Amino acid sequence: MSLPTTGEVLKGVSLVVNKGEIVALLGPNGSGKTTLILALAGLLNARSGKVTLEGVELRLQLPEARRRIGVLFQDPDDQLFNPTVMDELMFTLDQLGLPPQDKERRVKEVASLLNIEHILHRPVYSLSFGEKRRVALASILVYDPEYLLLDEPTANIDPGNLNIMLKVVCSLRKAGKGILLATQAVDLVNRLASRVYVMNEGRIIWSGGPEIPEEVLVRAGLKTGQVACQ
Amino acid sequence: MKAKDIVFSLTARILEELSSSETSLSYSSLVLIAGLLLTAVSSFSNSLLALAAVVVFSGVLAFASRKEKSWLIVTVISALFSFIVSFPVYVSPQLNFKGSVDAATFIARATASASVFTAFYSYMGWRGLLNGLRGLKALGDMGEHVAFTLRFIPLFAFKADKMLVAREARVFTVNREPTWRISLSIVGDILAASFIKAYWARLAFTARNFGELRVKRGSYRADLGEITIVVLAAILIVACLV
Repeated sequence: MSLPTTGEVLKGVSLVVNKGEIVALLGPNGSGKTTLILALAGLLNARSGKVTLEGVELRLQLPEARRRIGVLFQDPDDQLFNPTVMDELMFTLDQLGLPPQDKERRVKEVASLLNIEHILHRPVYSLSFGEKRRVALASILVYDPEYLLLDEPTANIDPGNLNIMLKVVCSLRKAGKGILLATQAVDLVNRLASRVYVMNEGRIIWSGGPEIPEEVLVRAGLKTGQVACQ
Repeated sequence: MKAKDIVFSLTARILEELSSSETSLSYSSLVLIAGLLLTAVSSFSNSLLALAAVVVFSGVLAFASRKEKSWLIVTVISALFSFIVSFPVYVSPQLNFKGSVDAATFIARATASASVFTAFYSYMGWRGLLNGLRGLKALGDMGEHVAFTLRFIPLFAFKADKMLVAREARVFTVNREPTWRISLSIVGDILAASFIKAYWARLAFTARNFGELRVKRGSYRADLGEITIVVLAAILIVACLV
C-alpha cells in the first residue's frame, strides 16, 4: 500500500498492539510509519494483508469501529478541520448522541488534562503549533478510544508542551489504552515503550524491547555521527 | 499592521464565521444545488431587477443564519471592487446609455453572485455544505475535496503570506521582475498545497466519522424552511434567465 502524497510503500509489515502497553514504531523520515498508521486506522486499503481489531477484520467493522481507535496525525493542521476548538471537540461527541451535561463534562475533563480550557472558543488557525498539537490530541481523547495511534506526537514542540504530552501518554497507558507511538526519537522510545518495531524503507527491520542494538539504529539511519564545529 | 495582513485576517475571520456550524440550518443537497444554480445564473443574468431580488433574498438568508455582518462585508466588497473595475466606463467621454447599463449590470452580477453564494454558505455552515456535497454522489471524492479546500482558505491565505516573505528574503534587487515571478510561483504552489491539505483533512474527517453523519444524510427529510428556500431560489433562477 502507498500514500499518494509521498509515495511511501509498505512491504510485508506485521505488528501487534495490545491494550495497556505502549508500542513504539521507530524509523527515519519516509520509512513508512505514517502509511502504516493510516492503514491500521482503516484509512488506507492494503492491496494484500489485513488489519484486525480484536480478532475481527477492521474493514468489516467500519465506520463504527472508528470510535474505538484514535489517530493523532503528524501535522495538527491536517487533523483539525472545524472552525473553533470547541467545534473540534464536539465533532465526535455530537455523533455519540450523549446528553448535553455528559458532553460538557467530557470537554471539561479533556481540556483540563491538556491545559486548553482558555482556548476553547478560539479559531483553530489562530493557535500556536504546541496548542494545535494539544487540541488535536484532545479531539481524539474526548471520545475515549481504546487504541491510540500517535504519529510523531512530540515532533517540533517545546519542552513545556512535550512534558504535557508525555504525562498524558503515560496516564493513558495506565488507564489500559493500547498505544502505538510512531517516532524517530530514540530516547523517547527508551523512556516510554515496552516493545519496539524499527522500520526502514517500508519494512520492519527489527523488533524487540526498548534497548535497541546500535547496529540496528545505524542501519535504520537513526544514529547520527559525532559532528562538532571547531 | 500592513494592508495585506488586514486582508488576510479579515478573510480568515469572515470565513470562520460563515463556516461555523453552530447555526447550520440545512444539510440538504437540494438546498446546496439551488444555491449553486442561483449563483451561476446570477453571474450572467441581464435582469437588474432579478439581480436586486437575489441580493435581497440573500440578505434574508444571512439574517436567518445570524451571520449578516460577514455577509454584508462580502457583498459590499464585491460591489466596491466591481465598481472600481467598471469606473473607467463612467468617466469615459464616449459614455452612452447602453454602456452605463452594461456597467451597472456587471456590478449587479458580481455583487449578486458573491452575495447569494455567501448567503447559502452562511445558511448551511461548513458541515451543512460538506453533507450537501457528499449527497451529490456524481461528484465522488471531488465534492469533499471542494468542501475541505473552502474550509482551509484562511490557512492558505496565511501560508501564501509566509511563502511570499520567505521567497522575498532572497530578492536582492529593486527590480520588480523577481517579485512578480515569486508571486506567480506561489499561485501554483498554493494550488498543489490545497489539494494535499484537502486529502489529509478528508482522512482526518473519516478517522473521526463514526457513521452517524451518513445515517443522518440517508434519512434526511427537508423541512418547510428548506422547501421554501428551494422554491424561492427556483423562482429567482427563472427570473434571472428571462
